[in-house]
Amino acid sequence: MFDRDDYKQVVSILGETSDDNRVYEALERLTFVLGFDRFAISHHVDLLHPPVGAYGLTNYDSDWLNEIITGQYFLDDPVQISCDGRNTGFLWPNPRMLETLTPRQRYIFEQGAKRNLRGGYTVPMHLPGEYAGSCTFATSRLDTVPSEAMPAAFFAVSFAFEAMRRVVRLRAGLELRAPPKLKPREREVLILLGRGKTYGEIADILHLSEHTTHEYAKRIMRAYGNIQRNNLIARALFDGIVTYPELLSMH
Amino acid sequence: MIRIFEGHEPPGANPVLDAMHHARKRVFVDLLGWDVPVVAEVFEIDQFDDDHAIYIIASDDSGAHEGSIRLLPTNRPHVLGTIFPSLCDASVPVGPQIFELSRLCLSRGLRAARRLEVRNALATAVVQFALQRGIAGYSCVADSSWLSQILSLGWTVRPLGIPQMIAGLPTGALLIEIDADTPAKLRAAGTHVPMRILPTAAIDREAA
Repeated sequence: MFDRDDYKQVVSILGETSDDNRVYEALERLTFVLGFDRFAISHHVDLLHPPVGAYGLTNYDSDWLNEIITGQYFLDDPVQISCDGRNTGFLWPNPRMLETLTPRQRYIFEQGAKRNLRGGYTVPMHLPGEYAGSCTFATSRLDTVPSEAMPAAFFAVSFAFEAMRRVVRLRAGLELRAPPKLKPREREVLILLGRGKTYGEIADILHLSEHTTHEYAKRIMRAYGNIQRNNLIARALFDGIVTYPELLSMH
Repeated sequence: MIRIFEGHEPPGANPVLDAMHHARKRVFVDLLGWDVPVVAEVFEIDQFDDDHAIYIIASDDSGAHEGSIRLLPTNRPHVLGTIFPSLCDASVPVGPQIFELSRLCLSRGLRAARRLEVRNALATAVVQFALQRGIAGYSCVADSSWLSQILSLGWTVRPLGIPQMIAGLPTGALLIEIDADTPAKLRAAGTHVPMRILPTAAIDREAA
């Protein structure tokens, strides 16, 4: 069993800090408290060209990290693929994963094993309005990790993800604004725009003048901080203000 | 709108509370499969729904339930103190300044964006209520399906013990600390909803 006070202290730090150095230190301490060797927390993005607002922290050896990035292992990583569509943490390697490994994925595992990273516990992260991500604790020996470590790791990782959100907000230099609240009419205009209607067509459908329709659209774009029209639908989908069924007329 | 009710009422006495208990049954029993009591086959009501419970309920324009949450005083029986004290390393936090949050319920059928809005409104109301009543903290039992929602509200949360597997989910006891800075933390996280809490049983949202 691991040290309870150490664990709670680490989680409390993660619950408060907006400093990514402290997040790193806390995760490193947590890794050892729980009995693992290495941690890696990141969004599942192209690590060679990460988009703004995506982050990652790890204490992997720098040559392993270099190999992952230059070899683009993140494109095929079986652990990352296992995160799709699940919210629960999982141990790896596991039978389901091993059944479906491609030769390249087998190679990625072998390369990790050479560096004593033979297994681990990974917690996926999916929140609306965010890139998918995960946090992995890796180890040379899965059988030495106590079973109590899993729920404890899950909780701590949730705190860590929230800490990194605060870091990103601070870095962005502005407070994260909630998605704009649109009036029902504005949402109707947005959905019709997303279905590819012109202002003229929208005006006909909603029995408005074209000028008024245009005004609604401008108001929506202003509510989003003056983004461009071709970015508007993507943002509204991302924030859950409109849904794919609505845009694809399946509603 | 958001309304606050102090004290449980029996089925049939208050349609707003009835709607809440019905929504709780749909979520906790029908959807999540919890083994909790159901009354008249439609209401989820447990031993803690008594005279001392406080309910914060969000309703839409037609009065239908959109979301709700229950506050229980900790110096009386409550979920953490009575059922899950083993989730606390030290003694269960109790006192007049600590309440427990439980039964956070968002109506099934709300769109994703509306769910977030209602969740944010309930959290804002819970914080305002705390500041008005001198509540310094809210304890709660959180499983993995709610944890990131609770944390993403932006308030300061501390673990009360080591999380354990309960009913197949990582579950832990948490303490949400409330002070004068908490509304600013909700704003920074983008979850604060402008509202006034009136000293009566009803509060209205300020026009945005």
